[in-house]
This record gives sequence, structure tokens and C-alpha cells, in this order.
Amino acid sequence: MDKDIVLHLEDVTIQFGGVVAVNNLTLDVPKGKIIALIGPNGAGKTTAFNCITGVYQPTNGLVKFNGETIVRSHPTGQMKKMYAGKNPLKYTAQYTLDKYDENEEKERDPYVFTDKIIDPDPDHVTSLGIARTFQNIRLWNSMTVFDNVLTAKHLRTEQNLFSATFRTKPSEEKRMREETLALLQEQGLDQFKDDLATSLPYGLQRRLEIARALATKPSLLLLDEPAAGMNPQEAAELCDFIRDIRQKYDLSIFLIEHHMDLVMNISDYIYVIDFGSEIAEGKPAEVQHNQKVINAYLGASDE
Amino acid sequence: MFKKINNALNPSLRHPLDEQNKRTNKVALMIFLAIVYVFAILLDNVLPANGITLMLIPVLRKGAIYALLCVSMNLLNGFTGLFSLGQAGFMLIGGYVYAILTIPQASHAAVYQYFDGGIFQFSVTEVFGNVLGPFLGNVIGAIICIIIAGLVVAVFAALIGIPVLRLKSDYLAIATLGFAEIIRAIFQWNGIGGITNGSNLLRKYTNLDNLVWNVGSLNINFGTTFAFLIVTLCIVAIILMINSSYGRAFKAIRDDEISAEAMGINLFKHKMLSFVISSFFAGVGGALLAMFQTTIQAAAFTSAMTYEILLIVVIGGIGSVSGSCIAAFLYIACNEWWLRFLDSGYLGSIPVGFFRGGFRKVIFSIIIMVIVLFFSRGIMGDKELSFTGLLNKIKQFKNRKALKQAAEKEGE
Amino acid sequence: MSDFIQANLPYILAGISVGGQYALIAIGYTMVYGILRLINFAHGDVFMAAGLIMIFATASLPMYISIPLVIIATVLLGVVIERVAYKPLRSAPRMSVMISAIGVSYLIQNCALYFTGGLPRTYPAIPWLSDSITILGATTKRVTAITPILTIILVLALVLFIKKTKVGLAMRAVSRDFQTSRLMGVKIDTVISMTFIIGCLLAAIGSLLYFTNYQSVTPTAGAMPGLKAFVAAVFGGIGSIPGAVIGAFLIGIVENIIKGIGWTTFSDAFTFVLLIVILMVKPTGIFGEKNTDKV
Repeated sequence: MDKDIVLHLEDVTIQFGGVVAVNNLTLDVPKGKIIALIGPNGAGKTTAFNCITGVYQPTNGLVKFNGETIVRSHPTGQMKKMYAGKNPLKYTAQYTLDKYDENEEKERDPYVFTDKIIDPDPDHVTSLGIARTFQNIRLWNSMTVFDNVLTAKHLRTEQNLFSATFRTKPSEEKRMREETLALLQEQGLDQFKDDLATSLPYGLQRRLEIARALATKPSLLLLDEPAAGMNPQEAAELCDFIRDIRQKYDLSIFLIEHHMDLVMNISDYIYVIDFGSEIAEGKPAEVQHNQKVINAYLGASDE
Repeated sequence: MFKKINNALNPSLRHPLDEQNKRTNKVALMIFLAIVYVFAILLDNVLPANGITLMLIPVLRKGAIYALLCVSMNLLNGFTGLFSLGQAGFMLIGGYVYAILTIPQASHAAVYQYFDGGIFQFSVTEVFGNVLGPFLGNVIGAIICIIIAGLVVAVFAALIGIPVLRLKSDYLAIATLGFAEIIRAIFQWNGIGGITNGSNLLRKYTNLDNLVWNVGSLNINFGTTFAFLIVTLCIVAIILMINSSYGRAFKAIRDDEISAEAMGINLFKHKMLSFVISSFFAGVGGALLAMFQTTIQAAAFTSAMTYEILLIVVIGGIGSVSGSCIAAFLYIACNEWWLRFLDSGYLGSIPVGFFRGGFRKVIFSIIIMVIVLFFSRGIMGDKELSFTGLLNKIKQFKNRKALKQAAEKEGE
Repeated sequence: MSDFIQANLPYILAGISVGGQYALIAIGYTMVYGILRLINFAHGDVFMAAGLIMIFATASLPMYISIPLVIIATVLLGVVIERVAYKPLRSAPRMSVMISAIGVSYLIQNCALYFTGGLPRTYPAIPWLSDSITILGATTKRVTAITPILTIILVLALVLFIKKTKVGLAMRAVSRDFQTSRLMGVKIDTVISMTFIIGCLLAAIGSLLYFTNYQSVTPTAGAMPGLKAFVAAVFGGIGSIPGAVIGAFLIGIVENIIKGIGWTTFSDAFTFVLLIVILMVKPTGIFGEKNTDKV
């Protein structure tokens, strides 16, 4: 197993009833790289994100973070009847030994010969160091810009209910506030810190969402269409901004985006999915000229 | 819309509450509380008993207790966004636990006349009274029993919360309402009459008027002061928590559950914390209410009581502690005192036919509906009342007046 | 088993009867919830108001005018409540609408308190319905036997109405997707008014039957039957009419058997235990549909 892989998806399949939203998606996000997941509307990109962050349980497959399995499922559960994926039994105890080398497989997935399902809540995934933003901005509307970021720091606070309420650790609260201010300063949001989050212009709201995600101290950042609704100039700024934060916070970034200029400009590697299945992957230049990708985006048939 | 953005982009238009203001507000609050406490002692002991003071005492006591009940409900409904309607059930448990623990031993036979004097044969206040003298015994015993009442309610709430808090908004409301009704039925059940006295009322326990300090020939009544003290302590604790990291997490859950969870806030844990804390204070409020009423009966703790508290919270402003407090005192004052004349049949000395029993409540509910429909932000919205805020308002008002006058002069 | 039935026959009969009455109230809850996603806390009080209107009407009017008058007045009350207290809040958060419903409930109860002076009022005996009859050796009022039959006829009529008519189609569309139906030209206000008309009509009929049985009306008389009918609606899967009816009969029967055993204190609590259990095991009720939030 490559030690530099931060996020690893393997055979991830997600079905809703008879609809296969994501079909046997396998991909890697290496450390310190910016990886993009693109595809036409409804291709299953956000569903894949939701699976990584624990919102949806996948029908089959697993997700690893820093080599540790964080999400793991198999189609012998309640969704068995509907399962239409490639490897129906790969993650179950009925796994056939003769096809694979036992030790190698165990090293790949320690739960390989068990029926163990790992289905974390989103907050647990975040506590491991994966933070995300949302396609349709989900800021906390009644709070100020400052409080939005400060509240996200709650996850890493060392105060318990008693010490927080009765202020027995003022230094901790002070530290949280200082860090929040520093974070806002470097995002250029500090002049708006006492405004309601919703009163910010759209582009700044997206930026605030990223700042909020950074406040949870992630090592992997998932960005769901960060440039949606931005004009070209804002998108270009965003491009530099994403590179900056990757550098500064030693982040790996996995993003979904429709803005092709941005994707081609920023990504180190691109995965393309359509109707839940991967249709292409490669460096930006390769993907750009891939006939399948062009067809998927222009709506042409595959022959 | 444009104004909003403009406001956002122009830092000079904002008024952040700075450290200086905070300190001023703290001092102002302290002074205000000091005045209130001095007044409470004077009211109970020095001021002559006339029509006004006789009304003022129960209004202030009940108002303070309702303020706590409303703030505790607001913590859940307003700050955490959990629409729970179990308040009456928790108050019932709190009141009963308190009453059961403080009924004097000698009175057991009379109170539990149908249940052979009941199961418990002790009174916490008496136990302390034997050691510390009756006054200190009553005060310390009462405080301890109030805390126990709160803790018992908190444990109940935790047990109820495990299944209930996984439900979504309106299902949560109806499930908590259901639990409150179940609690009411259980407390009226004669099968545990040895503890709860079945469907009969509990009485003779330590109440607010028992908190009298005898110094020589002087008898100083601390009833109102005691109620205010407990309520102040509880509300201050709630405010401190709301402004802490945990309070912010609660607000995040209220604003957007999905993003709160995505930012690492454990929904179940935090909802449970809010639910248990709110219930603890509801239990304390229930115990104080029992002390105020001097008798307590499970049958009175219907869902109508929860609705009443909820509506006070709405009047005060969902998400505002000071709003809840103001609304609680206003509501109790109107209900018990100022609007009483509506039921009397007379306006001044003129007999008015439709001013008869219940008219007050009708007017009241119409006012409430008007607030719900047209002023849904209530008195305070989700803002808090502060001394400097008030000063600013007055200044603005004066400025506007001055500007108007200037404009008028120019017009001339 | 047959011994048990024999011994408890009066209770079972009473249970079936009360169940039918709960069913008539429950339909109002379930339909309003299906369309507005609102627990109409005031519905039980509308039911109580129907009882009071009947008392005041029969004081000066003959029975054959009073009964239609009660039904019309109750329906009007329901429509007015919707127009005044719920319509202005259509785009407000759900909690505000629920608070408004609680406010309306408080208002109706207080008005009732004012008009009755807080004293229980005796419900007039409706000729024929109040007559005593004997079923399988148990003496009871005719209303006991009529209720389940009438309930089932009304429910079937309602189901046909929803399945076959254009308004019924619109109702189904709105309960499926409020916004889309609106965009597709469904007159949302008409549909909602229609829902309240049906709900209140059935509640008025339910109140005629219920109070003929219980004979006295107090300002809070509607609260408990209302809550029970709501639990019935939740049990059946809120939004589902057959579900609500089945739930209502179940609650009515079990509640009366509990009374028969002598556990009267817990007959009300049982309803809520059932509620908690169903919410834990299958929150969507036995016929309910699941809906998920989109992230």
C-alpha cells in the first residue's frame, strides 16, 4: 500500500432503490495533490462525497483515509437484493480464497474475511481530519462571520462542558479566538468578522465556508463545486487561493467542479465519471482530449 | 438587499460590542440585581401590606420562576432548535421530588392519609434543621432538594432522550408531549401512592414562606429573595453556557444540522446535552413552583402548561434569554394582576356585561395570536437586552428627534 | 378467548365506537399533515367547539336545524382558522406554524372557557341516536352501533373522493410535492381549504357521535381526543387515511379494555406508550412513506 495515498476509494457503489448513483468507483488522492472529480450533472459526484463523509452508507466498497479503513460496506446487508455492482461478495466473509493471496488481502483490508460494516457519522469523519464544503452553501445563518469559524473550532476544543461554561480555562477560549482571527485575516475576511454570514457577497460566502472547514484542522479538504456561481475573475482568484491553502496547511485537496478552466488549471489528476461509473482518468491535458469525456459532456452517444 | 451588502462592505457602519461596553453592561446588570434584591427583602418585610404589595409579592415570585422555566425551554427550542413539548412533565417530576423530600416527618400521616403515612419517613429540611437551626436548615435543605430534583429530572431526560432525540422536528414535539402525559399518568397512579400520594395533592412541605430568619424579635422573610437567588444563579449559568463553545455548537445545530455535523459536531451528544441541561433547569423550576404554590398535584401539569410556557417564550422572542425573562414577568403580571379587572365585571366602577370570568384569558390569547402572526420576532427577537444597547437606542431616538427638529426649522 | 370477549363485550363495543369517533378526528389531522406538514394542534379544539355549538344551537333551535348548522359552523371555523392563522405563515419555518396552531388551540379553549363559564355543559340527547339498544346481551346506546358503520361509510366515500375527483387528484399531488404542484397550476389555496373543510366536516360528525356518548362538554374536552386521534394518525403513518382509521380503532378498543381491567389511570397513557413505541420502531407509521433530506 502506497504510504502517500491520503484517500483511497475502492469499488464504491451506492444505490438508492434501483438507481445506481455511483458504480464501482475506485480512486486515490495522493498526499499534497489536488485531485478533481468531474462529470456531467447527476453523474454521482456529490453522492461520492457524501459517502466519504459518512452521510450515506455505500452499498458496497470501502474508503480508506491515511491507510485506515473509515467506511466499509458490503452488499449482504439490507440492500443485497438490489445490488448491481461488479464484486458482490468481495467485502464479505464468503470471499473466495483461491482467487487471492490471503496475507496480501488482509494487509489491504484487515476486515476482509469478516462481515464488518463500518458506517461512521459525519462528525466522526471530520474528527479524523476530513473537512468539506457544500455545493449549496450551508453557513450558519444566524451567526457572524467570526462565530461561524469559531464554532467550527468546537471540534478541537479542549474544554469540557463545565470548564467552557464556567470559564475555568480562559486561555483555551482565548487561543480559539486568536486562531479564528488569524484564519479570517489570511482569508481577507477579517474586516467582515462582525457581519452576519449571510450578508456577505456570494464569493466571500464560499471563501468563508472554506475557512470554516479549515478551522476543523483537516489534512484532506473536500470542496464541492467551490467556483459555482463565480465569475471568471473570481474563479481565477479562487485557483490561487486553493493553491495557497494547500501549501500553507499541508493539505490534500479533492474537489468536484464544473468550471473547466479552473479544473484544468489547478488539478494534478482528474477522474471523470458519468452515470456513476468512471469513464476516464488522467492528467488534465489527457482528459481534455479524451473522446469519451467530450462525448459525455456534449451528450453524444458512445457509437 | 443592496443596503445589506453595502452595510457588509462598509466597516464603519457596524457597532461591535467591545470590551468597554461589555464591562459597562456587567456593572449595570450587577447594580440592577442589587436593587432587585434589596427591593425583594424590603417587599417581604418592611413595606406595608396593601393592595399593591400583596399583589407584587406573588407576581414577582411566580414571574421569576416562570422566567427560569421559559429560559430553560428557550435553551432547547430557541438555541438548539429542538422543538420539545415535555416541559410540564419535567416540571412535575422536579416539583414532586422536591415536595416528597421536604414534607416534615410529623406531617406524613396527615399528607399521606390514604397510604399509611407514605414510604419515606424523613424530611431533608428537618434533618438539616436539627443541626443548623430551622432557618439555615430550611434554606440549605431546600437548596439541596432543589438540586436533587433537578438531577432526578436530568436523569429522566437522559433516558427519554436516548430514543426521542433521534426523531425529526414535529415527531420530536409529539413524542416529548407523549412522555409528559405518561409521566403525569404514572405520578397519579395509586400503585406508587406511598411515594407520590397517588392522585391526591402533596402539601406541608417547605415552601417559600418557611424561609424566615428569627433574630431576636425580628422575623426576616427571605421567600422572594430565595426564589430570585436560585433563578438568577440558574439563568446566569445558562447564559454562560450559551456564550461558551458548547452554546455555539447548539446554535450551529439549530441553524443547519447537516453542516454542523459535517464540521465535527456530534449531533446526538450535543442535542442530549442541551436536552438534559434544559430539563435540569425545568426540574429546578418545577421545584420552585412547588415551593411557591405550597401544594402540588400532578393533574395540573397538563400539556396546556407547556403551551403556556412556549407561548411566553414566543412573546419574548425565540432565542433571547432577556426576552424570555421580560415576557415571563409581563405575562405573570398581566395574568395575575393587571388584567384581572377584565374578569371582574367592572371597568373602573362601571359594570360591563362581557367583562366576566375568562374574558382576561380570551384577550390574552388574542394578543398572543397577534404576536405570533404579526410580530413573530416577539419582544426581543433573537437579540439580548443590554444597558449600552438601551443607551444607544435612546441616543438614536434623540438624534432622530433633533434631526427632525432641524429639518422642520429648515423648512420654516 | 370467547370468555374474555364475553366478559369485556361492553368495553369492546365502547372501544369500537370511540375508535370510530377518533378515526373521524384523525382524518383531519392526517390530511392536514399530508398537505401542509403541520400538526394542527387546534383540531381537537375544533372538535370540542363543534360540541359547544351544538349545545348553544339546540338551546333555541330544533334538532333538524341544529345539526346541519353545527356542521356548517364547524367547517367555517376550520376554514377561518386556516385563512387567518396558517395561510400568512406559509413560507415561515415549520416551528412558527406549529406555534400558531398551539396559539389557536389556546384561543379556542379560552373562548370556550369564557362562553361556558368553565362549567361542564350537558350535551343534548339526539333522538334515535341516544336510544338504548341491546347488542349480544349488552345494553348500549344506538350511537355505539351506528358509529363504526357510519365511520366506514364516510371513510370509503372520502377515499373515493380522493381517488376519483379532480380535487382529490390535486390533493394527492400537493401532498406529494407542494412546490411542484403549485408550479403545475394546482390552486394550492383551494386544495388546502378543501382539506380543512373535509377535516372539520368529519370532526363535526365525530363530535355529534362522541358527545352523544359522553354527554358533557368542557373547554378542554377536545384536547385528549385530539391528541389520541393524532397518535392514531402517526400510528397509521401520517398522511395515510386507512392507516389513521386502523390506528384510531386500535386505540379506542385497547383503551377501553384497559379501562375494563381497572387501570383507568393508564388508559390515556397507553395511547402515548403506543406513540413512543411506534416512533421508535417505525417512525413513519405502518403505512407511511419515508422521506429523506437532501444534502
